[in-house]
Amino acid sequence: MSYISAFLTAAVVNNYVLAKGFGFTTSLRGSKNKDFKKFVLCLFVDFMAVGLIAYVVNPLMANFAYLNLMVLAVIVALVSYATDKFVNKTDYNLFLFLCLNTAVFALALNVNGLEFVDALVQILAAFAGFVLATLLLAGVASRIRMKYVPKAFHGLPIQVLAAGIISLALYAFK
Amino acid sequence: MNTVMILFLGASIAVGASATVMGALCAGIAMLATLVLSNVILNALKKVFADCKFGATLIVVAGVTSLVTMLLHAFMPGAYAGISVYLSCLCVNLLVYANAEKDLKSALTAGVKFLIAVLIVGVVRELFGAGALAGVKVDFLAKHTINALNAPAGGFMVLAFVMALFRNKEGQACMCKDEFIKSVFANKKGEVE
Amino acid sequence: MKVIKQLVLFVVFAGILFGVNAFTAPIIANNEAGAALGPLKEVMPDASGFETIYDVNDLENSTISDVPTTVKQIYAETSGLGYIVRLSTTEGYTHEAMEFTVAIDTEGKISNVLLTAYPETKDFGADYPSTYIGQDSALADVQLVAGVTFSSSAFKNAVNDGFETLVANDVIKAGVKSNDQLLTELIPSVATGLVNESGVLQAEEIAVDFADKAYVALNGSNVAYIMGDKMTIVNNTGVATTYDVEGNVVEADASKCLADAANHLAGASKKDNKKAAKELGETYNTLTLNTHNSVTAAFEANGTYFFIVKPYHFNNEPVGYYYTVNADGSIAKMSADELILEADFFTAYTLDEAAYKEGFVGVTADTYSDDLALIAGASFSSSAGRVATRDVFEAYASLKGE
Repeated sequence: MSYISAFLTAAVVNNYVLAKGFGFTTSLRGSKNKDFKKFVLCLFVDFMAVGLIAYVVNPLMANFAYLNLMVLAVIVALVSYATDKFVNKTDYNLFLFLCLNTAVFALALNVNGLEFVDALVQILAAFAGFVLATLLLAGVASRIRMKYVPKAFHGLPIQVLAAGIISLALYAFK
Repeated sequence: MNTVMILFLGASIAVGASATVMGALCAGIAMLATLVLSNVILNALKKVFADCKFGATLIVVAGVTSLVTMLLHAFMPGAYAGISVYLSCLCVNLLVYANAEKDLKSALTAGVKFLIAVLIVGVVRELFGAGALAGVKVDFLAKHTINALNAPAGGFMVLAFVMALFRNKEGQACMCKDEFIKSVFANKKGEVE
Repeated sequence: MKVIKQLVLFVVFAGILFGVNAFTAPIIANNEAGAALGPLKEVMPDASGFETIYDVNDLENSTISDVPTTVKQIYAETSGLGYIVRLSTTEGYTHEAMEFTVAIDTEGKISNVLLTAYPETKDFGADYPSTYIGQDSALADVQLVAGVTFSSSAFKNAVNDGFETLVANDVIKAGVKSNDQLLTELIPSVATGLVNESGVLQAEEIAVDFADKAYVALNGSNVAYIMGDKMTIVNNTGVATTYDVEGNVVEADASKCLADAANHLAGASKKDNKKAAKELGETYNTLTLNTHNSVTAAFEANGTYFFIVKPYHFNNEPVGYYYTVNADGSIAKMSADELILEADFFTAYTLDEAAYKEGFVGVTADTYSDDLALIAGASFSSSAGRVATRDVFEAYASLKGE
């Protein structure tokens, strides 16, 4: 029972995108990708693979704390490359999204020092939260009636503002 | 590349690190340093790594980020403590990658614009969210704080307003002739919103 | 070729980072050490340096042992200005750690108090910690803050622990306590009717001409008179016991106390008598008890006993609990005026009143366990049930001469 609550907490209350601000660019633009299902699949593989590898590698790097970021960056790049190659036909666009996803990176840094099952729950929850955030942002963006939005806010700022309002709703859970 | 895109590409650090003015300053300096250093190094090594551009960029940026975070940890420990996670995420930050290939001037401009914008966000968030300015409390405001501004929720909203502030006259989101940004964000028609 | 180039780049950067790390790591370590000393410097600004004599996280290097759990670290200031004790107590209202730092000078008096973490729901006031300044280990003039008694008594107990440790290890000299302070501190152990389950005094202080101090218990169970180095406690059934500062029972003339107590304690009231009649029948005996707990009245008829107990409940309000006990010492029936106070305010508890009361039937002093009194989610009600049951068994045992 506590795993379910841990899952929900990590996915909704401590949502990487909306409650912590990681991976925002990818989330906002990801929904515009041509094939959303493939995007989600790639994300899933990405989160899982990076999370598990980081879980194994991070403790090994305890002595070399200064190399941590570099190794993680390499891991993320390799995993994204592999995912992209096998799921898509090397879409450079998608590859960049996957690779430079701050949420994945933050997850890799956060699964340190947890029990394996807890770490697994965290990874799955981060993935679920990310997809949830992407869907929410896309859903809200599609409903904004640009006619009433002031000129200065057209395009990006209104979407960022909308994201802010959504995350305000999630802030209430704290 | 105008400020809207700059703030957007550096969104995670802009939202997370700007809750306080000192944190925003720290983040802005880190971003500037990372941008400039990685730009310089990559431009110097351009010929050598012509065939593995992305890999080299990745390693250089990650290395420079680690360097910058270590130096900040040593010399600005108070501000660093609050934003350490966000600084680590500089190494997968789109803004840095967008500027890695360009000339030094554009990297410098991007970094300075980011610093200014993030400082503005930080001042607003700290003034109204915690009633203080770089730790110095303002009694009147401290009694009536808006707690949401301390959370990323408020960060997004203030960020949106600052982005709107830095609009150019036509109200365009991006005068994007930037190849990198186009490659990442172009929709079917090849435009970027 | 590509991979080799990237690998070389990686190694080069690894080397650079190693160098930078070697440069910054000592600076970072210094900063962190300085940060830990922050609260210490705030409490004793003139200090030149600190030496750790006890650290709960580093017991091997500590020179003091056998320390209560509230004391976390003890530092000696290197130029002889005194000692700093860092305390953390979870006995407050919220049961979350309340942390503070106390600076004690070489004469054994508190020179400064700094609160570093305060999780309680009610504030005991910014001035409260400063009332401790200048106190020595007797803590003679320290009062508890009305309405925030749990938090302030937790604070006081923690400071007391700190002093005890220092005195026990001959670091400072103990302060001398006055007689009436010693006697007042004796009350929780000899007369539980005057205190709640946490040991905080629930009494009204009254002025009496023949005594230095007098306390009337808010539940009408006892009155305590402090006269010089003796304390006489009178209970609601009219029995007086006199104690000296050590807590031993001594013989004394208690007639003045008994006479005065009659003005404050009602004895068995009409309502009590009616209840006894209902339980035991028209003819019953009113008993006198030797105990000084929350039992306010006891009746007996045909071997069956009826006790009226008034334990302190939520907000320290006394609530009437009624126990009928058989001749063999087992509870025949248990009831209460109200098991949950302010029921619509507190919704987190689960209670089936009939089953709860049923759970007491047939229980004797030997078979009783605190779990019977537990009401999940209602700690004050559970506490009242525990105290009432224990006091009834104690009263019963004293009647049987055990």
